[in-house]
Amino acid sequence: MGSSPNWRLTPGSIFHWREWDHEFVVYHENSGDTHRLNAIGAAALRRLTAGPAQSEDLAREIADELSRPPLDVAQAIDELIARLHDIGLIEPAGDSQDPASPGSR
Amino acid sequence: MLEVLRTPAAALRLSRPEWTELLGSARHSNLLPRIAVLLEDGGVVQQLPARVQEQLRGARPIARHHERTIRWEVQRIADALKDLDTRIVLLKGAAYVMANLPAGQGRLATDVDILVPRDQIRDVERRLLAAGWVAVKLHAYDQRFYREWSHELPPLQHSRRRSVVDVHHNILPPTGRVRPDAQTLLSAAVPLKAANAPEGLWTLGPEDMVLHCAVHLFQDGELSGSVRDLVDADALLSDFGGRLPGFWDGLTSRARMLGLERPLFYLLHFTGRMLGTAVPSAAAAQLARPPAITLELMDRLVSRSLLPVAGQHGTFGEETARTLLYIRSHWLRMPPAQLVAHLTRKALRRWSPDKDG
Amino acid sequence: MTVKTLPRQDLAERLRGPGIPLRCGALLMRLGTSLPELVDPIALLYADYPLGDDNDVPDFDARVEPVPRWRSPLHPSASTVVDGRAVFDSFRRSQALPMFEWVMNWCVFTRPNQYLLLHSAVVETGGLGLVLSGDPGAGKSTLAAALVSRGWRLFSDEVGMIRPGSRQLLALPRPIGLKNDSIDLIRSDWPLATIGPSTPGTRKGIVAHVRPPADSVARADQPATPRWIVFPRFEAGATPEVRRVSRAEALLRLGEQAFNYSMLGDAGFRTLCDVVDGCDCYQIRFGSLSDALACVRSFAEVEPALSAANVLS
Repeated sequence: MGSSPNWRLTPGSIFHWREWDHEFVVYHENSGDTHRLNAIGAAALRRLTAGPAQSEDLAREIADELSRPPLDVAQAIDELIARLHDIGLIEPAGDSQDPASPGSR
Repeated sequence: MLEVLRTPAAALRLSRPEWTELLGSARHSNLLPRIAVLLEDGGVVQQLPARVQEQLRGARPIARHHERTIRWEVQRIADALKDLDTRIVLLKGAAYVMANLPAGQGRLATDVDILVPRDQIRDVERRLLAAGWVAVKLHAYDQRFYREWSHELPPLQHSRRRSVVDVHHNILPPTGRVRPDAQTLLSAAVPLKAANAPEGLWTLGPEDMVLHCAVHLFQDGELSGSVRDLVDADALLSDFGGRLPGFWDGLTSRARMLGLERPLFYLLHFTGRMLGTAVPSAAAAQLARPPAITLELMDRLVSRSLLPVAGQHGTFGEETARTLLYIRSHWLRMPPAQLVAHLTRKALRRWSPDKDG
Repeated sequence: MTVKTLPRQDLAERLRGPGIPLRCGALLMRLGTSLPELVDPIALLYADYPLGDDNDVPDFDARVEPVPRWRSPLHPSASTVVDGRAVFDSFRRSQALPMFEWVMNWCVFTRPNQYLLLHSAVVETGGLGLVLSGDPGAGKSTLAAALVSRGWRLFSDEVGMIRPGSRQLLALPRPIGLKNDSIDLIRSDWPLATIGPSTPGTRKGIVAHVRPPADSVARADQPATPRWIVFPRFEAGATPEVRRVSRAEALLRLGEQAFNYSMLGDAGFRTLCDVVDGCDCYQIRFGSLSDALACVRSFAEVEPALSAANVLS
């Protein structure tokens, strides 16, 4: 197998979002799980709903976007990726042929 | 309740006390969400008493939740097993839901049952354990029963999500006198092609799906709440019979080939009798009838044990009917000597102090 | 017509027979029992409840019935029967009253899934709802009872009910369950409270129930707008503390405690978001009832203009 650094959402994922005071809650309709995310986590998950991404690129883009220190962001992103993978929200892209068709409402 | 299952429009004639009775029975048999779906599809909901509509509305989310759970669990299982080069066949509710069959609508159940080739079962188990499932803690005796005599692994439960998967290598245990060949079922399986279904999954062929239902209802040990199995069978038969040419002939010859004529006979007999399922008489005639006296006994046992009436704590007759059927179905699954040991131990354990702490 | 208008003999007969239909907010519950010792407690705790139509379809039919002596030779037992079927194991007959309340709770927690059901105590003043959410023992029932004695309207001490899409809390007033020290605490804090018989020896210790004020029962059809979400925590000897909780955190904590949040799927998420949206959320920690009330006072009026109905009931 070998973990690929390119991550995508589990095909068919549908998310529902709500934001209060720079804090986010997101409901993943498929698993029925609700997650609370800070600005970095929310930006990363939003970015992944647009298409697959590598964690380094993700970290760079988000550090830019939120003007945060790249190293801190990179560490946060790595933890987030591990967590999202563990609960089945994302998977390594490229080992399955069908294209991801994430939806977002 | 049977009448409403048969003809949803019959719901319009019910008095309010009859509704009270029906809602209780339907809840007890885990069929209220299913009835809610049928009444909605039949377009009669708006004409029902307001309080009944409310209760039907309250029943729907449970079934939707179960469907959502099954879809997600199947996806997780497929992910855990994706590197195995073997057929993973979804059974029962998981198959109905994932293949978008009418039988999956409003059905209550969240356990996922899968059938895999016998020589792959250890690999499947290992991968599921690695992906977070753990064996449900069983009495040592039950463990042994499963490993030695049964047609499935002890249930595996996901440590975080609490969902259960049952891994089967046959739809009947290998000790039974009737031995449908699992390989025959596996090679007739069809790939699951449905929107949003993960890759690499299969379901039983339509005939085998019905036969599995027959076996589950008329040969399995579990008989509680199994009007639902009849309702499953009714939905499968109406669906397949209506859209697959040659389905009925295929079904009866398949039953003959697998040695499952008797369970199929009973299934057609009881779905027709209790739910009004339209079975072509030519199909029924192709199956050997059981002797009249056996059939009469079955009629009485089945209608009494499948349709528990409200009253005290289950009437004495109902309990006896269940016990008789339980013994009957185990008789078919295990050699007689084991049967006695198993039933005795089951009976003893009911009073054992470690059961509910 | 309310329960108290029924002569005791009628009430006993109807309970023993088909049961009495009680209207409780949006729900209709049918209660019955052939245990004579339950007649007086039911007459006391449910005195102000309006009776429904005998023929109407109840949301549930809950009974407590004696177990035949031959089935339970060691001590007198009883069991709970819902919609004509026994549910749960039988129990000692001396526990019948708390078990009756428990089986009604169970029905309310598991049945009306057309609503989002939060595991919370809810009280109202001026059309605004205060939702108290916490583990058993956190002090939510005690605090709710104390607020009710000070003029708040009781919605429920166990369940916050919201129709998806509505943003409104619905009332389901039932007797407030108190246990152990809380019983005497409320007796002295609210001398006019009507409290049912105490039952010792339950799983939770001694249990007793406070009758909801007549006004709360009569106005059960009036909803409230959620305004405060409070996570109380009783800790013996704690210095009182009020901490703001973010809405995101409140949503997760309410969702975790809810009876059917995950069952309702995206509708549950949206409904809970709508509830949290208009609320200020707090965690409060206290070691005494007066400290708890002081905590609440920091964001809400604890003694709204006392209405005659509440004082008299």
